[in-house]
Amino acid sequence: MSGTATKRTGRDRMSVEWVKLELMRVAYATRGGFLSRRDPRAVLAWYVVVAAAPWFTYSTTILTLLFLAAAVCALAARIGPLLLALFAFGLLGQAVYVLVLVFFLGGNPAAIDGLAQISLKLGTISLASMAAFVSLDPEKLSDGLLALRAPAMLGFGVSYGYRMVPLLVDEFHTIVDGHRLRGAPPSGHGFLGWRTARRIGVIAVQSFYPLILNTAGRTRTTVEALETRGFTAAGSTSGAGRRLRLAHLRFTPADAALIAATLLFVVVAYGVGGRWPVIG
Amino acid sequence: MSVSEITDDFRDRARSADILSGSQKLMILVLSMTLYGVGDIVANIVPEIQAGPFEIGVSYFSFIAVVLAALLAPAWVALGAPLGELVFSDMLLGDFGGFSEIEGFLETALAIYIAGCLVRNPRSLRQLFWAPIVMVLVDKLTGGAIDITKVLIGIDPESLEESGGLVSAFLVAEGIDIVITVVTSGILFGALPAMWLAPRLYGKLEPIMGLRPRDPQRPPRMRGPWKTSIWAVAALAFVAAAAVELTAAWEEFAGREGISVLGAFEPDYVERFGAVYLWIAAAIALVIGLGVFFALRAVRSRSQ
Repeated sequence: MSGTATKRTGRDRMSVEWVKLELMRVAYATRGGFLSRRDPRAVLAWYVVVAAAPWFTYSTTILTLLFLAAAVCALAARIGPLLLALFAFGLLGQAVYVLVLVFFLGGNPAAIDGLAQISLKLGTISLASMAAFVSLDPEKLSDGLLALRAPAMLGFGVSYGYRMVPLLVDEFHTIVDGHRLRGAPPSGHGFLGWRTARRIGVIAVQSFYPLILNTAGRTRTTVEALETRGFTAAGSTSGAGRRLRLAHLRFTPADAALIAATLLFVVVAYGVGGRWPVIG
Repeated sequence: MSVSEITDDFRDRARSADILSGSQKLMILVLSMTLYGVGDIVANIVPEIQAGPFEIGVSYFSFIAVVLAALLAPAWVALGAPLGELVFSDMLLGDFGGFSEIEGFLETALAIYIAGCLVRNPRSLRQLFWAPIVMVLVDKLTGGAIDITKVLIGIDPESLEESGGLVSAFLVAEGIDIVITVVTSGILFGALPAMWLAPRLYGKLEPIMGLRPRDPQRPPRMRGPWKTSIWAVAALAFVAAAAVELTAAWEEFAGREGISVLGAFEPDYVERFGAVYLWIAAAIALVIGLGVFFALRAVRSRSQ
């Protein structure tokens, strides 16, 4: 790969490397977008409003309005194609699965309206959470959680995990490759490829043995480094350490405007959808 | 001194799982979080076989949680592992079910804690065989009970009435789903790997965390926080998991035909009070939640 200069097209997108890169982009919020410039507290509040709104109605019109708004926000937050594809695939798969259940195990097509509602609700929430968490890098997310008085352990664990998981997936991949290089190949695929499936399963499980020990060592190093800098002693949940960490957070008028606009939209959607139920 | 004597000497000086320092708790939490998160991502990659509407696939790698809970302090693993699932496979990939994820978190945490306490001796293959199965059963049975209600709440009472077969269809689907999950996630990717991994990691993993390996004579007791009974905590966790759905669960109370199979309690709040009841229910749930939160905080500050 020669960096970003080459445009990824066609089958290049199907590679494991691309999936890993895409995951890194999600974890580190490097795509930009309208939410990534906002204060993390504002983004979390925005998410709470958008994710809570669909639960209070059974009008398909209101739900459609909310879903469209969430879709626009998700596009504006610049979600990558991987997540969008996964989302669309999941939504479609769920719809097909439920439809099959309804038709095969005795049901009525009238239930489809209800199913559309549940899909719209879950879709709105999924889009909102993608938009919010794609826009928050680990640092901002843990600062936001800390500012909202979440336990310091939670904030640290989340931001550490965000940074570590891409690395660990990489390490896991390397260990699996090592197993495959050293191990004897199976003698044929067997009936329905059970030999291959068994081999993949066994390697996937055995790779966790070194991974668990390595990760334990790594975790210990990190926690000790944290302690030497006074993570517990300085009290990052209360007192000076907390103030120092959160000093850079600014809740600007633009953040307030974002939340106000979202609330206003929800209220308007409820008003319009309740007054003129076009779809039902 | 021989190697084994040095090890014994070290073990005597290491902390037991009953008394953990703050950084050890953090280590266990972060370790179980990241490992379970990676396992979850790998489990998502493992291909699934579609048999009609049912998917035969691995829903999670229960062996990671069980092995860690069997070796380290189960309570912190129980908090860490579902958190890892929440953060990595759900938030990161946008498959986040909003507030209803809290329900899954509570169920999984309870299941892992019980499974971890079941393993008194991490070398005993019999205990290691049953622990993942118990974990999957606890997780799926509590989840299934709430799941069925969850399906009911998103659907209008009218359309539910019209499609009478839907409830039974979901009941059948849930039952088959539980059996499949016990076989794949409980035995194939639970019991068998745990029986292979735990005895090998026993005595190797704990010293890295500065912990004494689990003593079969003094297993972790099934105790909730602040010396309450684990069953009280379990009941509370289940109720809390169900209560998370309460904001939208009003239709369970308003429901008529389809739901009467499940519970006879059917006052018609919504018909009498209109949709305003929805907001009242949400407000009540919020007040109860905050009340529990502050009560727990008061209890904790008094015990310190």
